[in-house]
Amino acid sequence: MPFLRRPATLPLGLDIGAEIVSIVSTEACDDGFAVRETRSLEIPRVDPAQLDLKVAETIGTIVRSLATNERRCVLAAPSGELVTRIFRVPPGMRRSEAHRAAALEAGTIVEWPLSERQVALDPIPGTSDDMLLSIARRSTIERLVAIARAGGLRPVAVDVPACAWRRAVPGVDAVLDCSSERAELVIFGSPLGLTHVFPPRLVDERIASHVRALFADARREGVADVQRIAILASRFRYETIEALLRDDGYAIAPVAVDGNEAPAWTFAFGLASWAVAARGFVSA
Amino acid sequence: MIRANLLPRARETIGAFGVDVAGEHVRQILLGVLVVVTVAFAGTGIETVRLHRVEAAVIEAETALADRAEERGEARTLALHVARYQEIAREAATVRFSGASAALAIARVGNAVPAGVWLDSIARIPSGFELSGGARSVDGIGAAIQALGATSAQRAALDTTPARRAALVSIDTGEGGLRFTARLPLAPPSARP
Repeated sequence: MPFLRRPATLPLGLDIGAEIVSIVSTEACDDGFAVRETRSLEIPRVDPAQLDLKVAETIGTIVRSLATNERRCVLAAPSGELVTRIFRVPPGMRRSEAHRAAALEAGTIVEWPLSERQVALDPIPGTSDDMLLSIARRSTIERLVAIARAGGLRPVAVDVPACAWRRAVPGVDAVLDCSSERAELVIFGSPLGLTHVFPPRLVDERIASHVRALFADARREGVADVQRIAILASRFRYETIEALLRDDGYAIAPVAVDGNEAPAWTFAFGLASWAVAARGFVSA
Repeated sequence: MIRANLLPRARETIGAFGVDVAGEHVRQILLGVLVVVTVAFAGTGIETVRLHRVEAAVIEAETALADRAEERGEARTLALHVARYQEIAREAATVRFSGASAALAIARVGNAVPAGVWLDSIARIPSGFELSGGARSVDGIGAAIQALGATSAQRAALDTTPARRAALVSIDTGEGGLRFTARLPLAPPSARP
């Protein structure tokens, strides 16, 4: 009886930005998953000591306004405090042994003390021996998780931003996020690519020149040959950057999600698809 | 689509009877318990099968014994007869040995008598032998008594019979010389080998 069938909700996508908090509510359906609600709210400007409290209050405000009762959520680790590598697991190695080996490997990649390293080893679809080794600052992750909990949510995962971007904006080779004062460029490669965080309040001309250089480096290092770029920015800023990069021959388009052009909740949308990433992403 | 999960997870423990076991060790513990239970069950099974076979063999043997009860009775009777015959044979050997022993003793006594002394009779008495005879002189009787004593001592050395001295019982004067009676004691039966 279809009218008695209750749709299965998925964990909320929670994007805690520097200026805006976004939450996307989705639910699973027969052919994938569908967006049910989206909310974005600006974080009030306060003293840095009170910032976490204000962020939690902003999350709480959004959560109370949602129609769904779903309180599970997926966060993202900050790109600036995250390192990813491909970790090759020898055949026959058990999962616990692989995790211990990855933890040792992490010590050679980052110089953070052991107590500050949060290490994750996740499978890469389509490969049997390669796994994604993610290393983040534990204190930062714990801070974000604590903020989400204070906002009334229950984090179930902390994703890597590049993974969320790839799910949010498929069909492109790179995403340039200029939605906040600190721009970010994600170049999709195989299996993950690379992420570059620009200095804050960089002018568009400098961003464009950096982007060109990074694309050239990515091509030279075999990461990706970027042809299609999606830009997440305000209309005015998009037109400026698009004009700067147009002559280089790239196919440039604004980020579009679920029929919306450059929504502020784009990244939260990518996080919301975390639960269905394992079985292939299909946006309804 | 690729995804990751950097969410810090609390160390999972499973508590039972006041003991906390790390979740990652639970599988190893369960595997160990499974091995122990499997070995125990296998051992019990093997022992049960073995006992079952032994019981079947016992029942089969008891049945075979019951079927051959008559033959076993005959065999038991035969064994009793054999034992009886063996006892008789043993007693006969004992008797034969006793006769030979007496003849040997008489021969030794006869050989021990010196010239000039003769024996008329040797009688077996419970305590030994009683000898009677004659002699031409008293010295001959003394020599005979001494020789019989030596014979007794020699026999004791050879036959492990305790030595007893020959004793002169009587001495008379008769026709043709002297008549004497002597006793050559033997060791009591309990002292014989």
